[in-house]
Amino acid sequence: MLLVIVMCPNILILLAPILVVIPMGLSTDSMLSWPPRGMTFHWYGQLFNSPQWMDAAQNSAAVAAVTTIMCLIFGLPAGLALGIQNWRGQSLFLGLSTAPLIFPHIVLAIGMYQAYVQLGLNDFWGLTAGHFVTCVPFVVITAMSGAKQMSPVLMLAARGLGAGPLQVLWYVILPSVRPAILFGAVLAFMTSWDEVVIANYLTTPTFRTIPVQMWAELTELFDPTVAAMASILFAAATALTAAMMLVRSKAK
Amino acid sequence: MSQPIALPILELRQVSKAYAEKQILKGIELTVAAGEFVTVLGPSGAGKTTLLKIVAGFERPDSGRLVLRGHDMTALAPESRNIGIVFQNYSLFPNMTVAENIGFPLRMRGMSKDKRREAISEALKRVALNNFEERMPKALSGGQQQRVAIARAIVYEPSLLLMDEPLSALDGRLREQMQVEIKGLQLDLGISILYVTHDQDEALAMSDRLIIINEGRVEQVGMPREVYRNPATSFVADFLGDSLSFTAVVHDNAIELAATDSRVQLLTIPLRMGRFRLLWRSDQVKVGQEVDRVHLEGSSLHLPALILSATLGRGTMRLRVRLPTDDIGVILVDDTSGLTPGTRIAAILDLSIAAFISVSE
Repeated sequence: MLLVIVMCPNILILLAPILVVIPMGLSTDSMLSWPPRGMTFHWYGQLFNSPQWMDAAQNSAAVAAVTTIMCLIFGLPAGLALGIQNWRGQSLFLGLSTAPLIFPHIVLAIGMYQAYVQLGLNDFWGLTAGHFVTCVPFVVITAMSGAKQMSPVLMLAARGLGAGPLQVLWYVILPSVRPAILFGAVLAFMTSWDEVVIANYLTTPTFRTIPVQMWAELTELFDPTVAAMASILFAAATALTAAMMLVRSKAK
Repeated sequence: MSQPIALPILELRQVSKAYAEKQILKGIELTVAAGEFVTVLGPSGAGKTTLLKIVAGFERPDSGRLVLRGHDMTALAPESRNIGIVFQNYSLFPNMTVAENIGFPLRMRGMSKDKRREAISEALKRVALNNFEERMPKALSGGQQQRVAIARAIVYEPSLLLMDEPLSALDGRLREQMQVEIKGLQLDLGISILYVTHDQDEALAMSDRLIIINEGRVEQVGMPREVYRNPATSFVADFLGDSLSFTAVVHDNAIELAATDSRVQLLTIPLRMGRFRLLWRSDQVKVGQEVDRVHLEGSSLHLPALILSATLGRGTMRLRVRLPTDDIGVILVDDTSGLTPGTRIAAILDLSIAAFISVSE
């Protein structure tokens, strides 16, 4: 009970900005303003009829999806190797592959901008490469901790029962780390989807993602379409979190 | 045993293994015959686990060879050895049902689903878990999980079953019951078992043959009763249970007790001469009226002994006594004897059944 009382102000502080944004997206005012006046879905209509927003959504989804797949392809084996076996240079490898978590994104972004310009890497593949670097630590860490929780005797047992190394991976290791992998993939996807600093540098006016579009609108137009978009993103994130909680409690 | 021993199922020849300078196994020799229950018994740190890992194929020996059914398998991958393994902590796959767990080795061998189902229910019957197919491992008790693990290890009819302290996670009575069941299963299936444990009672109760190891070396090999009654080394003698013993020099006509001036004339020439630790198991020692000096009556030595403590057991009384040689040992007597600490008695030791353990000067 005491915990609830203590937590209430925290939750309020966390939720307040979100609760402010939702009514602003429904306001009849043509400028973002508080308190909102009236009630309309006009801005939501605007959003879905705007080729700019729809392109941005498509771009964001494509970048986040490809980033997530790349993170799984490279991060999953790395995380499993870190979690299952002990090898020389392990901590160096872990440090290098998770360094982007600690690096300020703005520093990464400037460096990537300079480097990728030389390589002619921008828009979709440039941004995907940049997001891969910042998102791969999530998959590495979750896969590693998932693998560490597994009893190493299970792998020996499987070998003894006639499973080769690949069969052990497929039948024993992957099923045990599946929830961890799912969690890491969602983190990677959301991080890429939400990322604005690197995206600001590596995108061009003809290729924008949702956060970049929102940033641009806020600095240029300032109309409630942004608030409408923000509300949709909030709803989607809430749904995703709820789904993950359901999956987790079911797994237990 | 009287029947001729065919080609052994498993042979270890001079197997050695070191980890980072530390020599864990020092030239282990071991055989398991067809249908034989062999137990590797030793204290923790003796190298039992390493030995088991080498037989299973999880570790490679530094030197020496492993031969399974006449084929060298020293370099063979664990999945190609066709050995069944039961671990201490059950090690069932948590994401699979009981049936999927037991079916796993069959699936790895490419057996069809229908045949698998038949074999799984057969194996479950063997371990008295009929109709447990669809349960998840975490819904089972420890004993049930271990039964499933055993079913999983025998379902593909391996040449050899390895068991690594399989009962140590279970408690007293269940443990004894499982000992009987495992032994019964082994006799039923005629399977060869290499069993690893640190539990002396378990080893004595189940094995056809014991291999006592200590600090990476084989101390003694033999049938349980023989190893228990006639330990070859002091380590084996003390590790396997209570005894009463003293060090003596045996001449052709007398026995000289170390650390005393007692010398007892012998009427017959002893079989072995030299310096020995003469040892009797606690139940082989008889108790008599107090005596004032060491003497011989028939083939029995009578030694003055002082009772230091008396502990009640199940129908027995365990007496800790001190001999004139200052050796402290244990005598097991009936709980109706009424002996109390501080009482002086005679320990009556039959020389004809003594174990002679060679000791250096």
